[in-house]
Amino acid sequence: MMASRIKWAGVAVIAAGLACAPLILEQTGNLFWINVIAEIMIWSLLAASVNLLLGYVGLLSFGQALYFGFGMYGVAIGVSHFGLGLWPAFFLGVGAASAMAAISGAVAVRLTWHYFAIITVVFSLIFYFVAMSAKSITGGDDGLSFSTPALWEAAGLSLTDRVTQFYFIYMIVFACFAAFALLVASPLGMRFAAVRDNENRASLIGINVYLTRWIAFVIAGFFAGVGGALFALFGRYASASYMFYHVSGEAVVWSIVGGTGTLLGPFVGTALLILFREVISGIWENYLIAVGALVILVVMFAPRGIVGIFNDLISRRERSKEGREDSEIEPLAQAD
Amino acid sequence: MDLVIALTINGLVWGLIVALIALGLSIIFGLLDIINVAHGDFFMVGTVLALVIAGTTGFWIALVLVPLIGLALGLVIERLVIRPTISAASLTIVTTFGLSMILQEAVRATFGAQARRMAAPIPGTVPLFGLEYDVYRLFAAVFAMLCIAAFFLFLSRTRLGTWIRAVRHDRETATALGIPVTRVCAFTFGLGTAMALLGGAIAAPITTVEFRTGVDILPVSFMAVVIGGLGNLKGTVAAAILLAVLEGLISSFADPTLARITSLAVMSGVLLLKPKGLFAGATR
Amino acid sequence: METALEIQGLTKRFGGLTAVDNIDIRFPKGILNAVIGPNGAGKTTLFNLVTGMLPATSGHVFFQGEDLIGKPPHQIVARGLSRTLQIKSVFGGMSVRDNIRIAVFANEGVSNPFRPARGYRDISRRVDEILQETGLNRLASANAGALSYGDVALLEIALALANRPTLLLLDEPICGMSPSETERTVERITKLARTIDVILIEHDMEVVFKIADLITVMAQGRLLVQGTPDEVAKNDKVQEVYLGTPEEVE
Repeated sequence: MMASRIKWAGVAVIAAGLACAPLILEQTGNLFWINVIAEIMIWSLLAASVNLLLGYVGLLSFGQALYFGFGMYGVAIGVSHFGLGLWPAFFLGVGAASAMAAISGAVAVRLTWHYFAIITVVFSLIFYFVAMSAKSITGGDDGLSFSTPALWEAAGLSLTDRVTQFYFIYMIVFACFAAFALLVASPLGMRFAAVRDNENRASLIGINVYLTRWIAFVIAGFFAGVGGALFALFGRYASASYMFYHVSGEAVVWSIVGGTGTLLGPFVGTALLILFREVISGIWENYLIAVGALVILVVMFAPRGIVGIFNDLISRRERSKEGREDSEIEPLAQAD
Repeated sequence: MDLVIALTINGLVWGLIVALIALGLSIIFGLLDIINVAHGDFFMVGTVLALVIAGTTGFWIALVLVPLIGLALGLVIERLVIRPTISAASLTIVTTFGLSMILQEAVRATFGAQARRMAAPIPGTVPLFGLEYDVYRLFAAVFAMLCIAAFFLFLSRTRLGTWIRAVRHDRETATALGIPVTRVCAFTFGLGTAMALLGGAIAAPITTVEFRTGVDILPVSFMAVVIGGLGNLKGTVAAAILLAVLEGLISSFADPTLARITSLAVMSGVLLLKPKGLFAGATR
Repeated sequence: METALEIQGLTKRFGGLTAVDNIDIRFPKGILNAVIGPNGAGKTTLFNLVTGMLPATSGHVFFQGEDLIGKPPHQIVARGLSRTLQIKSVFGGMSVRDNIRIAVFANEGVSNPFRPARGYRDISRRVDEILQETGLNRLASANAGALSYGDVALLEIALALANRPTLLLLDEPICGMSPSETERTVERITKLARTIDVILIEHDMEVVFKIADLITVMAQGRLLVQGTPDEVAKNDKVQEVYLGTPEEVE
């Protein structure tokens, strides 16, 4: 189908563009932007985590920052308190985030609609406060700094080199989005779609709705945890303030602006809003007003988000090319 | 012991103010079915307006003006922002999140980032339980109580109040009975906003006034609504007071953060075990 | 004769209202069963109880030797009992083929997150089978949300067939259909009934009397009478329930 070919071409362009970015930026001397793009990729995982739940399973979580935080602290505490190497710390962070998602998900997924959103916030707040008060372990509000362990001693690769760090993050984020794409196209992904589309019907054809939602919740926690772990490695820093509901809320905004229910929507939304912030904050100190207004306008006029609208345009173009409209589908009974 | 008493009474004072704010949140949640993330920021705007107006014309005028401004603000926001987005059900929370950003930043831009404190409108203290207690705090508690009572009277005795209760109870029947549901909802949003701003005005002299105070008040108000039970207004008031007193008590011997964690844990428990609220069945 | 479904002492109370009142019904195997009764007789509630969509107040429902009461819907479906809904409801955001595909996946218990759904050959074959059986193959790529009411009803039946049921409960399958749609659907149902046990709720008496082997009449949550179409047509109590006693028919 032409439409999906265009979409995949778009994905390829973005992936290739990102791969070349550091080399181009090095040449033009804009080293600062290498780090900005790296940060965008990291935060896009948090947005992707929101997107999985909201766009594919129909659950609005306002507390994904909790799992981001677990990933972040897993690495920070692993390195500074236990002296772990890079990969062990990374897996500790991701594992902690996924485990937390499994436990809290078992409880949260029982609820639906507003109550689900509320309890996700409540959980993230509880741990935010715990992290704030356990200053000795987490560094509280001031945060926990550490020096990054070597990436690959033998090859002399270290995250202190901007470009190496960029590609490290790029490869992991790429792998995550690739896994996301596979997931969505898989039978499990179809299960998610069924639960989101018509919960009643789903259970009538034999789907365990609760279990399906829980699985999605754990996977979402996993993605958020990877983001948090990368964030800690990137900034050599972890702070409880990144677990606050405001962070979760921003991730929801990025996901919606980019387009929920699409593969690259979270990336596009995150990129747009972080670039917006970097560019506008230099010009207008109170740029957050513009961001807030943008959010409201997007919900009012473009709730499908940027990538969502793009997809709609492509599909419509394809359908009109083939000359077939939905209304032309004759009911079988009349077709004799 | 003195500390315990002082913190408990503080808790009671705050509990009544939070009750006022939470009632506003509850009617908005109950009628319009939206989670208003900006509700805490409405409270914050109330504190800021109160401080500014008190500086020019006096606190007592502020106490009257601020809720009226709140009503107007709520009506405008409902018309411009809420109504156009209300059909995208789960997205309304995002809309109010954007609103929250705008409010906080707008206040930061005009009022400044510096936290300020207000002089007590009623200076002095009274001896209470062997302590010297601020007169203004006692006034604040009484005034908040009167406002809450007025709110309940409004709901039960006036026609508009009855309409609000009808729409909350059964929207379709209310429409069939000829009640102008859209306008009732708009007014409800305005009323809820006004109550948040009023709470802010009352609280202004006893809290720091800055653009971030809303962020703290929001979870507290939601806790009162959820634990009290959605739709159970009296339960919300009781929950607000109980939570504030509980937190005050815990703060007297432990980290205030622990107090907050305890309240949140209670809230989780209620959401999971008694989703209709702690007082479901106790009151109608 | 063997039993397809046995209902014992089934009761459902909603507060003060008793929707199903201590019912005992036996649906024999190998024939086409129909359940009829005036509005409010409790027919759909009965289906809801049997499929686990509503919790029962008391009683038992025996299917293949097991009591279904207390089991959640997805477990009942897994045991080979399917139903269609009175208010037709499918996955409106997906194509007809995908609707059936997800049902087959769910039944086969497949949920591998790493293989593309399109890649499963045997699943696709089964989907095509079902599309043929219900005659939906021409609409396979159409969006389920854009179908005519009659075709949605057919899709419902297709979804119910995905788990290779031994017992199929059809809740007003031809409700709202045009005469030609009705004819096709009735044809399909009679064909299906040759290999699967079918229990049908219907209001269209002409259809019921034409195709049903055994008719169960319910009224006010209770079993009124059970018999062949001839027996039921001549039964006084049935006539009373539908038409009122002679004095009332004025």
